[in-house]
Amino acid sequence: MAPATELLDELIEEIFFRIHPADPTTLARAALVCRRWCRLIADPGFRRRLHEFHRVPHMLGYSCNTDEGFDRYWFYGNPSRAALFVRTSSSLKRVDMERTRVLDTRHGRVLLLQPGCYLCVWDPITKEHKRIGMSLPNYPESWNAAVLCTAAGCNHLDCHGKPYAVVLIATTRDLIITNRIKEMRNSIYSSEATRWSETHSFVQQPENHLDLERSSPSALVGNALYFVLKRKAKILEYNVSTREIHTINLPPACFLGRRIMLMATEDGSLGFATVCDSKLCLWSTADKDVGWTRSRVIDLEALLPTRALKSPADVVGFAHGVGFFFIKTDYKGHFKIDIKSNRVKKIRPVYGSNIFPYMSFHTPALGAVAANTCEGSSMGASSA
Amino acid sequence: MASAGSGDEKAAAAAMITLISSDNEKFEVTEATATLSQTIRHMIEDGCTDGGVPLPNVTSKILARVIEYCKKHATAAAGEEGSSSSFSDAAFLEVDRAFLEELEEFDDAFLEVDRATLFDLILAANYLDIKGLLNLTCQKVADSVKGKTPEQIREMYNIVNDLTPEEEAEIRRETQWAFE
Repeated sequence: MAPATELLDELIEEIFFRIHPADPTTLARAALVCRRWCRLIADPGFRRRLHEFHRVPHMLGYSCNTDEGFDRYWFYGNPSRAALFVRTSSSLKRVDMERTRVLDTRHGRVLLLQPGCYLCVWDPITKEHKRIGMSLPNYPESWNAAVLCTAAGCNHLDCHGKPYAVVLIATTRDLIITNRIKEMRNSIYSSEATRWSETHSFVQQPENHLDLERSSPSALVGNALYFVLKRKAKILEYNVSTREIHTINLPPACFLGRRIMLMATEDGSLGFATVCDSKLCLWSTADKDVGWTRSRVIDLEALLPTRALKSPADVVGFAHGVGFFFIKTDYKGHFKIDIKSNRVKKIRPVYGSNIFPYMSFHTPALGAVAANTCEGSSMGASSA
Repeated sequence: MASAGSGDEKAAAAAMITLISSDNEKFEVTEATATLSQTIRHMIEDGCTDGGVPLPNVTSKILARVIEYCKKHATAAAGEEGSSSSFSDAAFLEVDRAFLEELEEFDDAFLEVDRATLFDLILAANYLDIKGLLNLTCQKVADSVKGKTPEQIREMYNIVNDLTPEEEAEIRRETQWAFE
């Protein structure tokens, strides 16, 4: 029988490329087979070629909050209900998290709120977690937070172990004792500096108050994070480098009252999705001067079971890259719609308001191993 | 697999290519079949196929299998191009699906080979630059290691573990998440 070593390195790589991206465990185990396999998997070039082969990271799971109603404790930094990580890849585990709230998921990390006003940046694959104390305003009216990778030149396909930032934006309550002055504040936590930046705050004009929609997923487009605003038919743009804040008007249309899901479109511009008259409508803004255009309309009646749309559905999650939308219906539960193939899958019941898909490649981090052991054992050392 | 078509009329012969395996066996195939291989396609384009195409890296046993694959998939490609206009959309889709299913069954059966043959097919697919075959065969190997322990993988593919216990411990430490 022919040993695997008879294949050229590039052909062993071709085999490794085809280990399903949702199965990082197999690749990690393959690294333990012999020096040659370890060297190949540890090679940064292999990692790059693997990402090029698959192009988009796979959805390995999703997290969600288990309550629908208003948990006022979380709002002050002490969540009383539970959150859940649901795996869709066999290599991850389901995780039940007591007294926790999911705030965001991006670049291989899940951002959680834990009791005592702690944020926790959690990596479900490496199981690393970092607790970060945060300070909310004394009288928060609204707040939201986002996590993102800040590694220079990162293609955000495999951000594990790289530096990250957490962005916190909060508005203070409109109180008479403070002369009706309302502020919007923001600060950024840097994993490299291991501390929060100084807080930027600015006074909001009373006639133009902005408040953030409660636990609505943000979207990262280029250098800007976008947050849904409450009631105003506007969204908030936060530039991560300059820390400037702007608002963008949503198109005046029928989606008012329905949830909107912000997203980065495939061409890298800002977009959003909303359900309107049993149709999933995708809007995008390739050019801000031109404004919003409705780029795609997907008829949910044709995709979902009958009765599912007896009451209005909502879009509650979006998996960037793979193009999965999560739709919540009152009568038939939650569905995952793959808009590339129009394939629909019913997913297990989720009680929370939103679904935060967890997207990542995971190639085993073997940097140190490669430097110490696998290097220099390149040729034929492992033949049978 | 080798079709002795030397007595055919000229028109047909013009579209035939002779492939010569490493053990000097000759295989006559249609150009459509042969050009699934990018390597052979380039040779045809460069006009250097007169007198046959020697393939010194491919044995007759493996070449026969490769040709079997190419014949089936060349038919598939021809079907896709040729028949679309002669069916109504629905009928075409129906035919298409049936054909794709048949092709899938063919691929599954095609992969029922021992590991040595599978590796030889990978080498041949790479050398002849046949994307579909390379994908199919590499996927088969990738699927075979799924969920296996390092020991099981070594046993399956006759690989000697040349990692020292210290190295192994270090790799395990860095990929701890995979072994829980």
